[in-house]
Amino acid sequence: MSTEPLKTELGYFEKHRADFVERAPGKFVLIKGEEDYGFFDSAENAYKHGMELFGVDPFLIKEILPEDQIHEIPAHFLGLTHASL
Amino acid sequence: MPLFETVYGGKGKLKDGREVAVPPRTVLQRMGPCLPVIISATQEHQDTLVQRGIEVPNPVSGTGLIDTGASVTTVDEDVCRKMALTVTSAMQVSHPGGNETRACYAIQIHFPGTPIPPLIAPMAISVNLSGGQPPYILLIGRDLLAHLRMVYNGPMGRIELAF
Repeated sequence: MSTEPLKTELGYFEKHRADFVERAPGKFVLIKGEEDYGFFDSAENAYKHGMELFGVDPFLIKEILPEDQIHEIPAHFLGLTHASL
Repeated sequence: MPLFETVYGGKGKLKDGREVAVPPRTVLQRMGPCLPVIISATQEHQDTLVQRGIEVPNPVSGTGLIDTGASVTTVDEDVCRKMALTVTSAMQVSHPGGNETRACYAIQIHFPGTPIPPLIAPMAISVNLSGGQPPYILLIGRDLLAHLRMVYNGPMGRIELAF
């Protein structure tokens, strides 16, 4: 599924990543459009705040790291969840 | 911490059609630590829809696999589509062909028939899980396991979850 609805927010995050890392490393930032709405200790808190402000309209939550973590889901991508036993 | 345990069991068929019990340890070994789950929109999402007079989507029931190899929780993209969830983030995932950016969604996970309270995953990665056997709708990754203590009891064919 597409990340297109968050294209503006993702661009804004990349543009300000270095600043965010200096100000709030390891925290989660809430972004809507080209504006940020605070730093949070957890993604859940950022999400709840985003729901209060924007409801079901798209908003971005990003963990503030120098570069994006690359996640591993080996069972899925190696096809192990598709194995027939 | 409260404790929940589930013992696996099942039946297999012999060539002559007779059913025989399969030992719990064998079922657990073959199936992995899976359990029934119901995925819904978060309570906040549902409340907002109600306020706007929009129908709340039905939750989706299925099987979740506890996947200690996964750094994050993943949800079947068809589930997100059916519930018309709103994208909340984007994450990079690795696969044999390289890295890929995937959309993330906020979901609430219920564990029916257990005392485990619902868990919120604000940024569950959407992937296609529909081809699985059984067809999983959720891979519970280490981000959610951070809230639980799990014992994989292979000899007894059960898992124990403390929460």
